Amino acid sequence: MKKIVVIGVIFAAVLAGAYSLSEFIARQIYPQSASSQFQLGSPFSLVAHTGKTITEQAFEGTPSAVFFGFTHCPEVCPTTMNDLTLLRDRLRVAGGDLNIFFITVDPERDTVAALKDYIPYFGGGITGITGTPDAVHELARKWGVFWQKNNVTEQGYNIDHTATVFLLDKNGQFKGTIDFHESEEIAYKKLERLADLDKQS
Amino acid sequence: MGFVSDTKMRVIAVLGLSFGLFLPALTSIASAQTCNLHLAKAEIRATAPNAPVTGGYLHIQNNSKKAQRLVSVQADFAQHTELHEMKHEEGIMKMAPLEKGIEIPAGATVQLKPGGLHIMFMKLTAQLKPTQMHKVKLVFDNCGEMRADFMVVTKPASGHSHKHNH
Ligand SMILES: [Cu+2]
Repeated sequence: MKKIVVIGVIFAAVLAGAYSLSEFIARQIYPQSASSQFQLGSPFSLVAHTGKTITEQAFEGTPSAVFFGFTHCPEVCPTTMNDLTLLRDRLRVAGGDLNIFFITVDPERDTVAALKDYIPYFGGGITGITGTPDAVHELARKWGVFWQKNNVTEQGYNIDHTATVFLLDKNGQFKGTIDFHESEEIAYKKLERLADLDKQS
Repeated sequence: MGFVSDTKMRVIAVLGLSFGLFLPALTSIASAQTCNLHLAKAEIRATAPNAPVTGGYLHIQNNSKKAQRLVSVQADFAQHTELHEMKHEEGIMKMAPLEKGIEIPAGATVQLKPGGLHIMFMKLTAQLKPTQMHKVKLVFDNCGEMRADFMVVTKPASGHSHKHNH
């Protein structure tokens, strides 16, 4: 009888462990799948690439596309910035609009000065956001964004990070995402909907 | 130059120096031919001012009967260069260095392209602007060194959408 109780306790412990491990893994791997449990659009106070303070109010008035990246990023970040500006230009021709935000996941290296060089290169209408590492990382956590330093050498380091674009409507409400591999047409449809262009005509 | 005082010595020195410079040139030409590597679509992504890193891409076709390995890359616009692989997994972009380089099997073509294998140019010393051409040195384990002209472009070809016949 004692044996059965012991086995039962062990089984329960293993079950609980496995459950919390799967929860942990799910949170690491699928940050955007449970967006409702994250606090997207929650208040923050950080610094824009212009040096001015920026808060969650920046997401109001015009729909927003928000990307988390870093300037030591060889590919996804410049590609996403270029793609978003092209889509935004198309949207403007059709009568819509979009504000683009680039929030760094590398606040140690991405100072205001670094962002001031980087952001305007991709054209107007993009706002870079940085701040103290604590404040920036808190925001990334609230948005369910994954970031992790790797390949740390004397040459520097890389950061693996969520490459998803977050979409907010003009009230700053989270509406969806654009995945890195989505086609331009699907991405544009989403931005059209976000700008309420699909309801006109 | 006190130690090369007479004409005879000077002639010997010049000959020796020329031969010393000529020999490596000869061997690199010879190795490139015996190696039968064909390089194509060499591109570098344009950078923002003071951007510290960028990616380089190309197709390497190995027409020989022997596997070749790209082990290192050097360019005068980057103080440090690595070979990397990028992977997009569950929404997360991951990048890792390839310590052993990139193998091009006999008869195969390996594409370094956005979203996958790439040359990681680090500690850039100059901004890379579209249409610029840059010489890049590629070092292979058996073949030795090859040089390729890389073109700077805003959006390097992904290799997905177009099929090229050679
Ligand atoms: Cu890389």
